[in-house]
Amino acid sequence: MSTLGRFASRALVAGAVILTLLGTSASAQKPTLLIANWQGYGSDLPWVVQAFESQCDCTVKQVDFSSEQQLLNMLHQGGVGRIDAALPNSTYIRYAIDDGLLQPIDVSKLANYHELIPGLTSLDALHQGGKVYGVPWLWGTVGIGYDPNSVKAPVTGYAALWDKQYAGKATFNDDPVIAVMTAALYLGEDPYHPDLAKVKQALLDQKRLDVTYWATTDDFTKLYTSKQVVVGNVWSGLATQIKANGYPIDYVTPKDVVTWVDNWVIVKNAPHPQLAYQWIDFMISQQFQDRYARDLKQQPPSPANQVVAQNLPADMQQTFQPGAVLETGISQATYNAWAQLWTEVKTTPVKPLR
Amino acid sequence: MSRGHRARRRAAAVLLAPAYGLILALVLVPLASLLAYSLTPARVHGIGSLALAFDRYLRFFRDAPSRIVLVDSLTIPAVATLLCLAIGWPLAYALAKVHRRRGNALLVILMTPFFVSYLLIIYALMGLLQVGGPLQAAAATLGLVGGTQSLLYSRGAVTLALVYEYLPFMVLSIYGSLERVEDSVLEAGRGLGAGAGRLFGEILWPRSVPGVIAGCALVFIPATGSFVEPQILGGTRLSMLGEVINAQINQTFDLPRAATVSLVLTVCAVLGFALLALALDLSRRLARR
Repeated sequence: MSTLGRFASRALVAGAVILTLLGTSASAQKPTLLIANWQGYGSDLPWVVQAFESQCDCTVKQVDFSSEQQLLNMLHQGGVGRIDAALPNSTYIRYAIDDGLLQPIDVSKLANYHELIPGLTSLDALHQGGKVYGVPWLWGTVGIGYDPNSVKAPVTGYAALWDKQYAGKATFNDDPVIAVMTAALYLGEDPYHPDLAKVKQALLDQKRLDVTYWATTDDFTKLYTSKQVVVGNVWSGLATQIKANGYPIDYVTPKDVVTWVDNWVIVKNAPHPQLAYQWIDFMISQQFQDRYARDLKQQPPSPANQVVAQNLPADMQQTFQPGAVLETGISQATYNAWAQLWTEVKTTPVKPLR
Repeated sequence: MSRGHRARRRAAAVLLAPAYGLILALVLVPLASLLAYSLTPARVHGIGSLALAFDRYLRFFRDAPSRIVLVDSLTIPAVATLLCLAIGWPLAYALAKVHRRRGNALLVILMTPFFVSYLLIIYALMGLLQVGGPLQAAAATLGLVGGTQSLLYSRGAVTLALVYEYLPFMVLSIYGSLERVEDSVLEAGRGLGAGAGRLFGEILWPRSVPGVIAGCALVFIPATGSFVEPQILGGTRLSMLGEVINAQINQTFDLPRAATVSLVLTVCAVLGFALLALALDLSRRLARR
């Protein structure tokens, strides 16, 4: 992180905290719970904030981050001691634990914890030294989305992303971990320890089929709804959202599918640990999870609360497979090597297939 | 040297000190820290050697994709700069000499893109260039591209975005120098029988060269650092070093390598610009002869 970036994120945290303090003094000394999450990801919805504030007799403020790395920087540079709860995914939670940014969570204080899918709560990434550091919240898969009107051959696995008949009509997610794991699964390699030379070649071959890579919700939605692409790997929730908006899209989950899990954590030296517990319990409650999961236009991921998951309409139910290929448990060194490989793939010119 | 002269010089030095201090703090110190970063051994636990750090530079130039990306990072901004010049010069002339009375209003219109976020400009261009968008439809009607062939995700789309974003810089710089060309000089030229070609070649162009050079600097140098434009509009077939630097900082977290690439890009951009400026200056000298 450059000095400028460091300064910027420090200024961001400081600014957020000042705004929070101003807000607090205005609302008659109610305690203020400060959380860190992506913008527009459930926790900042008006009904959510309202419902929680009336329960806790407190104020909720959110600082937004726009990448997991930014969240780590935020915690490193002034966030510890100010932010109460945050939402890292299962890859980054490990780094946050290793860097001593989090505090262990006493799950007996969470009334709804027992309703969570056991396959999620038992994930290695959320535990260290016999203690729990993360509470699974929402999860999803990165499978294959395709246009049933254009793709006639049956799609069952990631091989569709390498199928030459979709040359010039395909797209691929611009994320190092998803890229390497997807290519490894396509090649039949161990997704956590693949042969990187083979993976790189496969990703270069795949690149020849793509119109472009996609990084944001907006990227994929534009490409897909304007019919510039007919197949691509895509987040399950995004496929649901596109379908809910009236565009035909089929979503296929390969047997070994890349899976992500987002988890609430309590930051070390949180000023309001009790509120943080209350917040997390609310976030995993049926009250929140059911309403959020049913709001199709909010790009709904799958709820971690299994009572809620079982009551969803059949076409929205995703089964969490204990053998799912999780973007988790990879070390910093592995992550760095994968990110380097992905940068090389992106900058290597290839001859497009048309 | 007289005493008064020396005192004046001392006063000037004192008054200029804050400006020099700013340049030192905002230009030289960041560059030096960039150099220092690029020579830091990355994440090597234990002691790294300087040889290892220099190796990073060697690796950059030994790596064929890096070289291709470097060439793209210079040629695309160069083409965009020349296009800005080709469009901007006549525009600046029109503002300075033809529509003088409405000049200010036209300048304000020209500045409008400045008030719009460049991301919005890029997304607006996407709307024009995508299949079914007006520009793509027009190109398809003229038979330039296939009906379902997008103009997006190409070198041309990135160049177009850069021209759109940076054109005002070029026009304003040239406008500044053309405005200072006195009408009497042009009238004298005309009176002595010079045609439009000679007026341009012997008066207007040479007098505008300082503005042209400034405009080229303002377009070319920042354009070499673009990363959003190629990322959004360039598709998978084009990459610029700005994207590589961004990825090294935000995905790989390899600051030393990001610093290495930044320095290579900075040096090459300055050299590229110097060549361009020399050529322009030469054209001015030749015209004066």
